[in-house]
Amino acid sequence: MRKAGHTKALWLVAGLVVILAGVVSYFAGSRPDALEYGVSKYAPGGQRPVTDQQGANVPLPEGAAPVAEHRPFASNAISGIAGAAVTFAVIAAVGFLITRRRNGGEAKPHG
Amino acid sequence: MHLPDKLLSPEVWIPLAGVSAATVGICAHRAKARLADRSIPLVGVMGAFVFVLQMINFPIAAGVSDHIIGAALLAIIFGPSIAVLGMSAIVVIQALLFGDGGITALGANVCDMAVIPVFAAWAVYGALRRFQHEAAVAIATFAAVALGAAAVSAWVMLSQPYGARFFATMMLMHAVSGGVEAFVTVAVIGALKRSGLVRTFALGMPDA
Repeated sequence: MRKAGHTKALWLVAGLVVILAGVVSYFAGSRPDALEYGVSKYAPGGQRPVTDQQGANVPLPEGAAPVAEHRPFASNAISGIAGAAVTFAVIAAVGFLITRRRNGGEAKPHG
Repeated sequence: MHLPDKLLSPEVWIPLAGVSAATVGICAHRAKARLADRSIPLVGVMGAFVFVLQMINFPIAAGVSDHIIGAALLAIIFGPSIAVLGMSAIVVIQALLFGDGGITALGANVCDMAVIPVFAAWAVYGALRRFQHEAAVAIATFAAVALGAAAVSAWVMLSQPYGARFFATMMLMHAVSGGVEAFVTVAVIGALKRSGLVRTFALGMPDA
C-alpha cells in the first residue's frame, strides 16, 4: 500500500519534470549568463575572449534541437525532454552499476 | 556558470580534471554502501529535475541572466556521495549533448558545480539543521552557490589577468542567483517532504 503510493508520487514528479522540460526549456537562454557577462566585460586588454561554447559540434547546441530549428518552441521542448531523459538514463545506469557491484554481480531488491 | 574551452590555461584545467576525477571515483566507491536499489529511480528523477531547472535562465541584472545549479538540493536530499555523482552526470551531459561548457573545462566545471557546492551545502546544512530546517537549507544553498562562483572566478583569474572588479561582479551576480536558488531549494525540499517520497527513499534527510 505504502509502496504503491510512493511509486505514484514518483511518477507524478517524473511527469512534472517532463512537462517542465517541454514548456520552460523555452526560456533556456541564449542571453549571456553571469560568468559569460563577467569574462567579456572585464576581459584583460579589452579583447573579447571566446565565451561561446563549442557550438555546432554537439547534438543539441544551446538547448535547441536542429531537427526543428524553425520552430523554436518545439526545438527547445525536444531538447529539454531529451536532456531530461538522457540524465535519468545515465544516472539510473550508473546507480545500477554501483549497486550491482555491491550485490556481488546481480541486482537484488533492497530489503 | 559553465566554463568554455580556451578560457582556462592547461596549468589550471589539467589539475582540476585530476581532482574532479579522483573525487568522483571516491564518491562512486562510497555510494556503493549508501545507494539503496529502491532509491535509484528517485535519484534519476531528481537528477533530471535539476537538469531541467538548470535550463531556466532568469534575469538577475540588465542584460544578464543566470540559472540554478541544484547541487545543494541533491546534496541535502541524498548526501554528498550520490549528489556528486548526480551533478557530475548532469555537467558531463551538458557538455557532450548541449555544448554547454567546454571539454577541456569539464574537470573545472565538475569541480565548481558538483564537488565544491555539494560538499559546501552538505557541511553547512549538517552544521545548521538542528537549529531551524528551512533556514539551514537556505543558508547551505546560498553558501554552495557563493563558493562555486568564487571557485570559477579563481580559475579564470589564475589563467588570465582578470582583476578584482571581475571577482566582485561575479560574487555580486551570484549572490542574486544564490538567493533565488535558496528560495527554490527550500520550496522543493518542503514539497518533497510533504509528498512522503523523501522520507521513504532518501538517506540524508533528518527524518529519513
